[in-house]
Amino acid sequence: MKKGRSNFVVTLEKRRWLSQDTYEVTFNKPEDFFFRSGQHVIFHMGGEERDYTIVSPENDSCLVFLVKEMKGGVVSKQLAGIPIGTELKMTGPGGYLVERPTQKQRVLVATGTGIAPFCSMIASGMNAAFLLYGVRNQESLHYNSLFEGTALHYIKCLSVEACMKNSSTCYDGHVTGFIKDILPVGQYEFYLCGKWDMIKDVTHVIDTRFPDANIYSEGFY
Amino acid sequence: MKVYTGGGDKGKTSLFSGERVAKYSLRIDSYGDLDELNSVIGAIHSHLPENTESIKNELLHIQARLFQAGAWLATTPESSAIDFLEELEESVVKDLENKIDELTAELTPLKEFILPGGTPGASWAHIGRTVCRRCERKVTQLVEEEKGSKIDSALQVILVYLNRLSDYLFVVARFANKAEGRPDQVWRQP
Repeated sequence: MKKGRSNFVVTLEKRRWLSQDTYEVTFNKPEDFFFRSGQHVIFHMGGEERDYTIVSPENDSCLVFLVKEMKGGVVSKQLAGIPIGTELKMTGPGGYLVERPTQKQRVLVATGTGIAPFCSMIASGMNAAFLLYGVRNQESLHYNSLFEGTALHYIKCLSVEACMKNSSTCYDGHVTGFIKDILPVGQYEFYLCGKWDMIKDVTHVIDTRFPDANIYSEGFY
Repeated sequence: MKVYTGGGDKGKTSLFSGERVAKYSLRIDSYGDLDELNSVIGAIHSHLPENTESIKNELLHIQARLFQAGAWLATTPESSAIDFLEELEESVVKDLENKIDELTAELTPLKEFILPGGTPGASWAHIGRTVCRRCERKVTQLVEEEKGSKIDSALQVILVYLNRLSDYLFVVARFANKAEGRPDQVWRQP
């Protein structure tokens, strides 16, 4: 593997709450820090280390991250409370869920904060045919405006709350169900990001319906 | 933290380059053997005596290189994933040859066959040597299939490295016995 990780010190510039348990943090981008959309960094806080994927595009002047405050989560809780101006040690970038050249159509599949890499990819200009974004309810959908103005078929997959009637961009069910029953036949490359359980289930469906498809995935617990 | 994803329950798995392939495919077989070799090297490391620090350090370097090699085995030639990979430099082969020479210089010259075994460290090193040979055989087949492709040269270096690595593990086995004062068991016709 190519060696690309270095250590940096970054300063928290902004925090914005997007829902009751999810927020966005913005840090300055060091001049010598370069990344590819979809890559993540490691934040070091109080003896703990956590990976966070960069939400902002490659050429942005700052680094934005999407964080869900986890029950019992050490770093997500600290990041939610540290004052603006706090300096943090950051290592990176790393990860291989990045744009790969292809003749096939890309299908991006995210659940929860797994949307982060795709925000950066879309904002950086990557073409994709579909974005399937699985969440429990409308309130948990973030960055809608980024996806709605593109040629992308943006499908919100709501697993708990019902979709508005006659919505062509909303699916009642999990992303797995959409891929299994709705996604048109085609030549695809799948990019998956979310909990491992979702990645496992989606992978099984892809193996069955689209056995020739490539799958790139990054999961978390 | 769970370590299983279940993504391979249906007999397929993902290559580093994204393709879904059968678990019995040559690539998976090859890097499976490489993974096994890496694990055995971990066992050698933990069974070597305290007076073998330089060998232990070298084994850690080898483990890191085998990870690097594994990514090449899991990548198809036309994939853009190659951009992420770094070839093993040919100098790592020369380095390993030097280590073999250094250790051999400290050992009694071998005039007869020896039985694989001895101390736990030596025994694990012999197991590592044989796993390494098996891995080399699989990679040889892969190199044959990828001749002339974009990953040909990278695979060639890995192949040579594996060949020297089995020789290195042989001298490590002998050195492990020597370090604990145990002579190698010479083969005798039964």
